[in-house]
Amino acid sequence: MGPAAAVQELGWYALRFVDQLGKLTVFAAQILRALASPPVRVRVFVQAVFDVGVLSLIIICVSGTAVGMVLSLQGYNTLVRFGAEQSLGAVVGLSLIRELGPVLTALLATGRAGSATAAEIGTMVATEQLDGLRMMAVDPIDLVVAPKALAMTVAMPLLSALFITFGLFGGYLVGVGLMGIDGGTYMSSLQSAVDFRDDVLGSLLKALVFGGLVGLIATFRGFTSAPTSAGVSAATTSTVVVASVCILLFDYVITALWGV
Amino acid sequence: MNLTPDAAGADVHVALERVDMAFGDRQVFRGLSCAFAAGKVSVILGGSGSGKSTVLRLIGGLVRPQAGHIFVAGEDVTCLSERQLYGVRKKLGMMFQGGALLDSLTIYENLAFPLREHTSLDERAIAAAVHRRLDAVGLTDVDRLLPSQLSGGMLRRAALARAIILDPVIVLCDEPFSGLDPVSVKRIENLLVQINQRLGITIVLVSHHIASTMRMAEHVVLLLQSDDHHPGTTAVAGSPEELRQSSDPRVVAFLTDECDDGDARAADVAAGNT
Amino acid sequence: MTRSPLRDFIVGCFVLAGLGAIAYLSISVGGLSYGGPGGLNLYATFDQTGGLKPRAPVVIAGVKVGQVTSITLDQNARARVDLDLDKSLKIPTDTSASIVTSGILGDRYISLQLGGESEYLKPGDEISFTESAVILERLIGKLIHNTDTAPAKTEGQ
Repeated sequence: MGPAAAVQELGWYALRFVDQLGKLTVFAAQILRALASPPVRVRVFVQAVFDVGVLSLIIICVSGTAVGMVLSLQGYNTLVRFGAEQSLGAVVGLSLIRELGPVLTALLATGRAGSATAAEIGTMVATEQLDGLRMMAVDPIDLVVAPKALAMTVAMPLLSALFITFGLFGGYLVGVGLMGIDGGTYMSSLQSAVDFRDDVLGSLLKALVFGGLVGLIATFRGFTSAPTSAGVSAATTSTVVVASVCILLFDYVITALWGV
Repeated sequence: MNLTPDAAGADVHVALERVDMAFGDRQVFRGLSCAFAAGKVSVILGGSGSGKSTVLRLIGGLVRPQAGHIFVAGEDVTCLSERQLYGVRKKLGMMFQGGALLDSLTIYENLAFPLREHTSLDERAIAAAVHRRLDAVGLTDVDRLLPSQLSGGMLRRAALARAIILDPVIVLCDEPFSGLDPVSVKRIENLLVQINQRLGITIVLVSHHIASTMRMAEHVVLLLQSDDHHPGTTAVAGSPEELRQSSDPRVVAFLTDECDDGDARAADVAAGNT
Repeated sequence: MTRSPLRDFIVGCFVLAGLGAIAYLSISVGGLSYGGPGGLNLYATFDQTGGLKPRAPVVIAGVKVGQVTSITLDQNARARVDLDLDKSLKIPTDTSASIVTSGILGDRYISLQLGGESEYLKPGDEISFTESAVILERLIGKLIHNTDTAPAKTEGQ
């Protein structure tokens, strides 16, 4: 490939990126309009929360506990060299609340619920179910897309909070039960290090942003997938890839901007 | 609604005027014009890839043409926004090739769904309306089944029941016979004719199934792609009889080719005629 | 979409559990209940805060009773540390505040030693007796200077 062709290729990718970004923005606006205008689809939303939130519960709780346990173990082994093992609670708590909780929850939810959402909507495109809705004068964005995107946004902070709580519990188990740190020391170190406004609120904000991102990307990829089985699988894969990268990029941006 | 075919003959329900349509680089139609009369069963014929299904999607406003006008029940759907289209679509029922029933809902819920969306009927009236349509298409005891639990023929009938649930004036059917056994083909065919005759609903269907087309159609539109001698997409229209007696070599070629197309179709014809 | 009592119940439980976790993190871990309006706000000035941070705990006899809200430089170039304490506490006027460290390198916090006066500090008052933070490096430096001054000066340059 000559240099001109390479530049041409680059230009093509850049154009396609901008094109996709524009379509995504329009899509997001359509979702917001659908949410703001009647009818309010409570039942569909509850079902979506069930699919996204409840079905992700086990993986979130188990992963949270495991991450808390390993953080506690690693933290203890490092801190004990400086004789600062009484700060273990702070280390575990701050890492979980500020960073690992929202990010890992979002990544896990992307793999568990985001891919499922993209596949479900993609299948509905492939089997003409969404066209069927449009022919029945029902907006598929209003009925199918918006409740799923909203459910993801709402469920993410809840899942993240559960992840963190289970992580703190796992950290406590290892730190207090295994390493013999005093339980009161662990908790007081945790409580004095963690601030509601700076840490907890920021953590929830991060989770909320990630939830919106994953919901938007998953529904967009499903909605715009090619109406074939290959299209559905491509939509699923690209949801996981794009959403994961976006979560990590936005994590940096949020941290840099708001110091969360 | 016109109940007598004669009176309906003068009344054009759906018309395409000089429509250009392309998907990306692939040109499907150039300058296509055709019309479908009210109260009649019209069939769109054409080779694979001739854009038969695209005509239905254009009529429903699901895709938009690059140029031309499409009139449905007096309104030009090419000029309407998605929201305005909803008004037109309430007068249309569409039966998709794969049924397109919502696979997370039971058959009953699928049929009840349009009523819940667009009418203020109470549960009892909805149940009555749903069962009336299911009876009409000959389905019983399927209320609690999911679409995935139905056979192909039953699925088509359920889809047809949903297409007529809101009392449309036009029903569009995309390949209602494809992949069905001869008995099911005959059954769907009879149902469509019944719906047309009893309710006076205009039916536009797309099929490559020549035998059933020639039996049931009152009006046939044959789509022929442009070639060296004929620029643009041509629509040859007429009654089945007129088409059979056509001297246009392309029409003759299409009809004979398709009729000889494999044993399966010959078997369909045989079964359909018994 | 139909009602499904079991599904609705499970979703309800999920939302409650999530909100419970948020509440736990906010109140118990994040200390949301602490330092609300109407708390007892006092301040103290120190020569050296030595790495004391806002939100550091304030303890009496090892029990946390409040936290540091802000650390600023006053007009005399001393550090003014604002404290927010439990408003039910009665702090005698001759109470002293000292900045201490948990462990050798641990976090700094403020310890209050209650005095014996019968008069109590009111919100906005100053705790006038203070003991600044001990800077470990400075202590070590002094130690080296006192024991081995001359060689350190000549060889160090």
